[in-house]
Amino acid sequence: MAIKIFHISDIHIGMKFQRYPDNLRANLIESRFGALRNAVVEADRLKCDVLAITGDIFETIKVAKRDVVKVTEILGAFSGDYIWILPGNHDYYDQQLQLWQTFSDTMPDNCVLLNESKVYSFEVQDIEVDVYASPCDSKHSKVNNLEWIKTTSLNKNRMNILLAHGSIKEISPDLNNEYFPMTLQELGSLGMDLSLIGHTHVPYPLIQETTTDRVYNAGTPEPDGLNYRFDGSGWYIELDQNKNIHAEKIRLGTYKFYDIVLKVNDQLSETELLKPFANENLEKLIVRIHLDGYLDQDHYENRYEVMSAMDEKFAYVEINEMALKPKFTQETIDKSFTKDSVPYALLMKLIDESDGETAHLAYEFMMEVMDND
Amino acid sequence: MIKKLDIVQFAGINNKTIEFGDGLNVIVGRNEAGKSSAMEALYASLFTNARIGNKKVEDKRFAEMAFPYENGDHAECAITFEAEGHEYKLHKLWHSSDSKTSLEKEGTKILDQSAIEEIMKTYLVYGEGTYSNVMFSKQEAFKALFEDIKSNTETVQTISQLMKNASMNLDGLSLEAYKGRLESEYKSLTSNWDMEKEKPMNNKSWQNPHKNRIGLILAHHYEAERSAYEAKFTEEREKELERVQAEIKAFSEEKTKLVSRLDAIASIEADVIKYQTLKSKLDQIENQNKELLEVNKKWPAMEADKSNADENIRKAQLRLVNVQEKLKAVKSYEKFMLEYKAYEKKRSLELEIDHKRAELDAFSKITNEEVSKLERLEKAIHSANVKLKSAELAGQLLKSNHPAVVTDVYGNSIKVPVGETWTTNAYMKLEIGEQVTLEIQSNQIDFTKVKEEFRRNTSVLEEELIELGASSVEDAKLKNAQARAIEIKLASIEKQVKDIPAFKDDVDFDEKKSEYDQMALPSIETLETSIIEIQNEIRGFEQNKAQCDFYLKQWQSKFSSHDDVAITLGENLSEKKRLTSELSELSKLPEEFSTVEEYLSEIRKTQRLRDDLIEKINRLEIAAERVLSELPERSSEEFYESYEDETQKMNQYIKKAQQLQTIMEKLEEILEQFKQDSYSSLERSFMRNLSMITQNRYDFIDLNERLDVAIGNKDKMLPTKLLSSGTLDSVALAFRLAIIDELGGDTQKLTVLDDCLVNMDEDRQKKAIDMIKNHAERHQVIFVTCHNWVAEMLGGNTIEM
Repeated sequence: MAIKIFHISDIHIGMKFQRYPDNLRANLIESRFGALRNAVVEADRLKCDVLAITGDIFETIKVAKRDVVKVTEILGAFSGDYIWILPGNHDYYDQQLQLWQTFSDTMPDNCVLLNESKVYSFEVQDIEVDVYASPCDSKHSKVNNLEWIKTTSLNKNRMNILLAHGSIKEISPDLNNEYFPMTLQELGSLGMDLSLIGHTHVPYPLIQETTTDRVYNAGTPEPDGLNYRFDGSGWYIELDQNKNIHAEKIRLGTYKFYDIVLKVNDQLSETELLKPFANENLEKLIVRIHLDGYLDQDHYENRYEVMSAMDEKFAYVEINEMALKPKFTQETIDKSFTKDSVPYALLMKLIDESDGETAHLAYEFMMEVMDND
Repeated sequence: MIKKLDIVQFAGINNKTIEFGDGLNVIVGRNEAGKSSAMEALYASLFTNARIGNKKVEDKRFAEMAFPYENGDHAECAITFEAEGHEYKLHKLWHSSDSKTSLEKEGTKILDQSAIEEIMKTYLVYGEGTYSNVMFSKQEAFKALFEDIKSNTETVQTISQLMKNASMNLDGLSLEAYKGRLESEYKSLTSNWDMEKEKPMNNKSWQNPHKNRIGLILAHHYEAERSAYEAKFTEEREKELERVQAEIKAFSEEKTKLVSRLDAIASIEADVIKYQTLKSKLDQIENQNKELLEVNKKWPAMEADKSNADENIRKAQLRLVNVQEKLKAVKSYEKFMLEYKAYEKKRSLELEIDHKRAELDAFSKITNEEVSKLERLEKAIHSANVKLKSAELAGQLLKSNHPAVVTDVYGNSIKVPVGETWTTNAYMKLEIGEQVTLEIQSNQIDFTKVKEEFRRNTSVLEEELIELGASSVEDAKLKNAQARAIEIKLASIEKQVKDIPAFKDDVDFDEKKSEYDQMALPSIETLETSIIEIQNEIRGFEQNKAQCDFYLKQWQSKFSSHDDVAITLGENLSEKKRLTSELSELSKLPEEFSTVEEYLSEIRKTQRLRDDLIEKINRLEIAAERVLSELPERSSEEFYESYEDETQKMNQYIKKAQQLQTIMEKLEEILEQFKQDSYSSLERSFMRNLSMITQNRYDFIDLNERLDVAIGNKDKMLPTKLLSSGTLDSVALAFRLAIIDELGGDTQKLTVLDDCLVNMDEDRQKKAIDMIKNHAERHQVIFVTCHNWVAEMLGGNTIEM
């Protein structure tokens, strides 16, 4: 006999993705619902008893009502015993908030909103379970919400599961310690049979499958920005009556983000640009490439042609060429202008007194003006 | 650019159309094929007036050359060219009387000559001389270039101007266009952006932005600032909301506590108030009972105390009278005793008088006169004695078997041993043994007289003393003084007796004294103390009595009588029982309060606190609602992301603008540097061409304003007249192309070269071809040759004739 839990977190329904073009923006917004839907489908496929969501289902406490209803509708498809919903710091709980009123009004019957810091008791697969809920009641907090648990004695005959939301020091930077900071050691010291945490978008542990770990951070099921390089995923966790554990990371996301520095040397080609994305479905990739290095003159001049060819391949691509420089040499200048000419003298002066990049810019404009004549 | 030449009839050519392309056009054909005539037709189409007179030499020459041999009376051509983006077709019919000139501009024909001339000026910007001498080179006149241009004033002026003006080699780059492009790019980036201060011009923020001319930097700056503002705004709202919600939560918890406390204490308020009323009544009864019991107990005792006090007062007053009488008696005795003491003193003084009189009587009295007499005698004796002493005698027994006995005037003898000395006054009698007696008198005084006076007075004095019963003059003086003292004392006592008043004769003091002595009377002090004590005692009793009176009077007024006290007491006890039973049914004041007032005040206080909290919570809920309504739907994190994106883009553009700034600055520096160079652009261009075509054999030129040309290298310079024919052709070609290059203007210029390579050696030809091809990249070149290999080497648009 074992409890099967599907653990996800940080879906951030309601993100706006303003920096992206309209079509993609709509897709990205929709993909977050898609990820939740995928989680429900996967949880059912794996015959999970519980779907546990450890915070930040919503991006803000002001998320549109229709989005809340859409979420509860998606959750309604889950056929397991319980859905445990923990408010996170982005969608923290306050009884005045319309968000949670709407959620409570429309959530399915098997859904339990863990909005109080207390022990919630359940029976799953004839196993008695105590859920220690540590919801957030604000967006920021210098202290986590675990203190009350430290002064509560655990019933070791029951399955003790912690659901909490906050930054885990060893996993994610929380430079100002303002997101309910906690440590792995602190979580370990609580003596829980299983700790399900949300907030940090990177999943923890970083391995695919484990039978030893007791602390799980779900990560986000759908990547949400260029600073997130992982797949969207959730954890499938089995916990048997003897408290033996088995967990497996399940991929859920649609899109994937890449924000990479690509070193180039002399040449720039489509192949070169696509190299880092082998085995990826480019149509679902959102990519920012920071080109860094020197290109041969002709490659540099043709760079926009190569770069714009990328637009059609990816869902979205942005190429930053700030660190990309032409190999602009005296040889090129010698070829282009006579030695005693003004353009020659100017380009040489720029190379000597400024840099090749500036000289090349001057050169590009010279070529442009001369072509137009 | 010349596009087409239609020759209807010109020299030996009829109905021939030649199409020209951009860049290099090579007309190739054998000799006499009409190449030169075609070039003449081209030239004439552009420059030669259609009206051909028959007087002018040049008209005659033109007619001979252009009109077909031998009966031709006219020539006719049309040239199609492009100028300033428009296509024109200039049609000319040269004739002595029916000449025609028309110009078609995109299908519209113009006949007005002055209008045609105006349009032609836009294409043919230089004078005809410049075109004929520089741009149209004829084979036979190629090397005569230098002479030709010198003979044509207009050409000289044009070239001189080039030498003065254009002073730099732009190598095909239009400076104006380049500068314009850099500036427009810079402007498109930095418009309304202050690069130095790194902020918008006039400090116009995104909230009060520039409306027009927004450069890319400013646009992204505004976007970044707006995003930063939105992020901060959102973050502030988020935090404000959190704060308000936390306050609401805290107040709600506080309110819950207060409400539950109120529920606990306020529910028994009615009981507690009633309890307080009844309890106060009960306390009142108990207090009254306490008093009643006390009064009941004290009333009889008080009355007894009062009558005791009366009795004590009476007894004490009797004792007081008794003591007062005793005091009176003692005071009479005191008066008697004063008289008795005077009486006793008088009696003692009288006895002393008697005693002194008897003492005086028993005393041998020596009078003052007697004393004086004695003193006179003593003085005379003394005087005689002094005389005797003044005549002192000294002796020494020098040798004797016996001691000497010396006797003085006064009869005193001393024994003197041998060897010893002695002295006597005026007389000595010396006796040594029995045999020697010697008397010696002084002659210094009348010894006998003096001895007589001394003896007589001494004898009288002795007699007197014996008579007065005195042993010496001093003794006589003492006795005189003692008698005097007794007499004075006596007189004093007698005076004292006289001072004591007289007593009544009938009083027997001693008897009366003995009576009093037997009475043993106390002292006045004792009696007076007793009186004060008794008086105090009486006052004490009177106070006791007054106190009793006070209480009794009070009780009477309060309770009427002692019996009534007992009755009231009974009534109170039954009321107490009733109240106690009623109280036991009611909720008591909670223990934490010491008084009902405190309890009620706590309820009111708690209610007030609760109401305040409710109001506070309501206010905060409204505030939370307001903040929530202001909160954007995007999270602050998303706004911050936009801010970073926009800032990054802005920085990219700033970097580009800085690069453009550098380019423009360096360009100005370069231009300044070129302006200071001594060679003109034309000279440089000429040198460059010359050096190229002569393969660096000649790379210096000397060109003065009169257009005298010398070429050479660092070793020597040669004037053109000393050059070989082939070299001169090369120099002419280099110069010609240099002039065309430097003529200025942005449009490409026509260059017609009529087989100018024939005199050159093979190497020069190759270099010349390279130079021409290079020239053709910037200008339209029409090269005429009869050599196919030249045409092949040149490439370009080949036109066969």
